[in-house]
Amino acid sequence: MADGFAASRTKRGGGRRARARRPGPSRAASPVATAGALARAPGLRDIFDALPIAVYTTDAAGRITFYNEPAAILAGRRPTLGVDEWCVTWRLLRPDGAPLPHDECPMAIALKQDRAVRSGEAIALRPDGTRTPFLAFPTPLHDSSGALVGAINVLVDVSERQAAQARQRALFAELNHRIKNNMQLLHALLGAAQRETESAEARAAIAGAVQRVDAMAAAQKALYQAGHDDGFSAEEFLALVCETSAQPFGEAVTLSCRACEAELGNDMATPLALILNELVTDAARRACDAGVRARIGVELARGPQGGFVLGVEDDAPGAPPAAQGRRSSGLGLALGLAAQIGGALEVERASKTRCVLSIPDPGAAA
Amino acid sequence: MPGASSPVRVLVAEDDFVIGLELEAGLAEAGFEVVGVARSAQQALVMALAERPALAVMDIRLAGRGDGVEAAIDIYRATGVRAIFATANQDAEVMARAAAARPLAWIGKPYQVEVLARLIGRVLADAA
Repeated sequence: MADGFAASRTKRGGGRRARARRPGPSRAASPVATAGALARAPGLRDIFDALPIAVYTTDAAGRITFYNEPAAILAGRRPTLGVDEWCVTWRLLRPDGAPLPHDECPMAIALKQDRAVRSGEAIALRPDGTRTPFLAFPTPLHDSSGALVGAINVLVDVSERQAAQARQRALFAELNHRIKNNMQLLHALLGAAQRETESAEARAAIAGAVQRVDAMAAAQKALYQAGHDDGFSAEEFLALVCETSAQPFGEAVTLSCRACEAELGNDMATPLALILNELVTDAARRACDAGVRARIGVELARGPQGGFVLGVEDDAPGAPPAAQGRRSSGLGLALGLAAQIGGALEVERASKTRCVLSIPDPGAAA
Repeated sequence: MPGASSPVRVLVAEDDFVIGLELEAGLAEAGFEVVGVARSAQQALVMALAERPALAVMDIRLAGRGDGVEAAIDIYRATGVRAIFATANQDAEVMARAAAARPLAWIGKPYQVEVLARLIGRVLADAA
């Protein structure tokens, strides 16, 4: 028995395929015609049943020839040998929950295409309605001449892994929810402080802080929407951050945002949001101070020497932003953050005010 | 019945005290009358029945049983008052569930109260 089993493995390991050498029509049954015959051999049956994994075999036509006890448990039924086809399961579903016909299951593909399938994903639906997601590893079996005689399949229950993934997703959503809620709380606390102070200067300073918190929050939103662990799309990000910065100024500001296709590194998000906020706020404030409306154009393009160039242009009157010795607000903050991301910020004033931030290549910055 | 010049009456459902306080003050500053800040779904329904506001600003997560979506649906069915949902989790499942309340708008947390105030003005103008 043990020898026979070893022999069958050697043959399979030889990798001879029906395609390579098509056998004559009616060849004598090989001693290892099916793994099922092997597995049903006394003693081996116990070994297969003792495996903590579902195993079954079929003949070349896909009829079930053997299944072990874990396979019956996974399937929630006992298949009829020689009658049931392709899979031990009662019904199959695709990973998205859509029905998967048995003759399209991984085992059917392995037999029909005479090739091993690895990590074929499906969900077993039991007669009692319960479901188990699993991975299938069907492998065709050949006789000594290379003719396809059947296949053996191993089904790995991945419900625990999927449950862990679902828990992780829920945790991530929860964390993200808390961050946003805390930012709202921070916004509310600052707002309350702003309302309670008598000093106009304090009110203005707090208003600036609220704006910066909101810009950070917008960056956080953009990152979460992207859902990637290493980068985010510039287009959505710019739109979200600029809108947030311009919102308090209402109709005094008309905003247009354009971005080339660009993936920016996550580390870039917060500094970039804060820089944008200072530039957009400055332009909007100049417009409000002059009692006029302003158009602010924000555009991200590829830089001449790699990296990106972020231009913020406005037609608001008044002196363009200038560093006034302060480094935690206005241009001073923007300049410091530009240096932090390895970039540089320049302000040009012609008929319009134009601030140009050169952003290093994301790869180089990482 | 409020006259044409009376401030628009708004119900707020928000379980966080500080955020509720800020909404109340910010909306009042913007010219609205906040008829109450409900901390739970149940409280929101009771307040809506008693006060019949023009609209409700609903947070999704509220204290106690039931969430803002359930409360908004109950309020809409009982009074016809519709809601602006202010939430940190604006996912497809929540939005689908909220459809029964015929939401006026959605605003993602964190948001500025001024932005909410403008949004309320806009949806009321659209609904008029």
